[in-house]
Amino acid sequence: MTELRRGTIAFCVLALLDDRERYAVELVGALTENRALATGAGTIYPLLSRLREEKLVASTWQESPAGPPRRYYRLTASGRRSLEAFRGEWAQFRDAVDQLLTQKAS
Amino acid sequence: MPTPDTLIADYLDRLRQASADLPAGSRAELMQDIGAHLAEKVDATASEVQVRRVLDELGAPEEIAAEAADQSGTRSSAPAAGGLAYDVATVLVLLLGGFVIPLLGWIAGVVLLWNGPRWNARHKWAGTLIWPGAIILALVLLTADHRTSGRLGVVVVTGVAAIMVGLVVGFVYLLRAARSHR
Repeated sequence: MTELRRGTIAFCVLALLDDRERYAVELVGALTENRALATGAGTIYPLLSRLREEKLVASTWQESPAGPPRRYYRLTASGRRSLEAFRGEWAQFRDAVDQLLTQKAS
Repeated sequence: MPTPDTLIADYLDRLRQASADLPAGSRAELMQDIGAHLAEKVDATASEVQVRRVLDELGAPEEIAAEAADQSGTRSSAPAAGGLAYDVATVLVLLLGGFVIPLLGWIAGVVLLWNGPRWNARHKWAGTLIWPGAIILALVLLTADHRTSGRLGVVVVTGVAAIMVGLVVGFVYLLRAARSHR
């Protein structure tokens, strides 16, 4: 994964956890569905470990209705702050890059 | 013909080998996470094709292990933004925590100190010994006090001043040591 993609995907994970907690397979599903995750789905796990270590997310193992236990992830207060900061930065950055890219094309 | 079970066992074997260089804790966690993923996606009735699809979707074990190594690399080369806050809090708790909660406050400070990523063993020992050293110094001065009972006040004032200076020096020493590694 490139640094840009890795850094961005981390915030996509935080954004997915904004409204409710989810387990890893759900996160993988959401990220592969819109093709945000260009690499193998397995690479999400090292990313989740890092987010947990940085205390941006917290996780708990929970029984699933049927099948094996699942590790559920949720945002921590500091994860929520990081996400909010990123939302603002991203909008600015995206607009700036778009502007430069279209300038070059025209 | 490989069965779904042997496909999964082979996959996990490759992952175990590819992740041999990871710290033991990260490696165990990765194996656990991937194991749980497979348990979730593959049930007892899954066919060989279904299992192969799940494994393809996960990606090569080597790719996952490389990503894990990269992620822990980013971790050690870019210390958390809260570095300064952690260092200052550690030193404050170490030196003053004992006043808030006797003994336990100091122990908490020692734990924070030894978990701090920016101090080496020498700094950690020095930090740990500041208070025991100050207490021993105070005891020595108090016994001296008995012998020179005429100038009791002077000795007590000198002792308190020495401890205060020691604490300030310890404070500056630990924060400077941490800053040089930030």
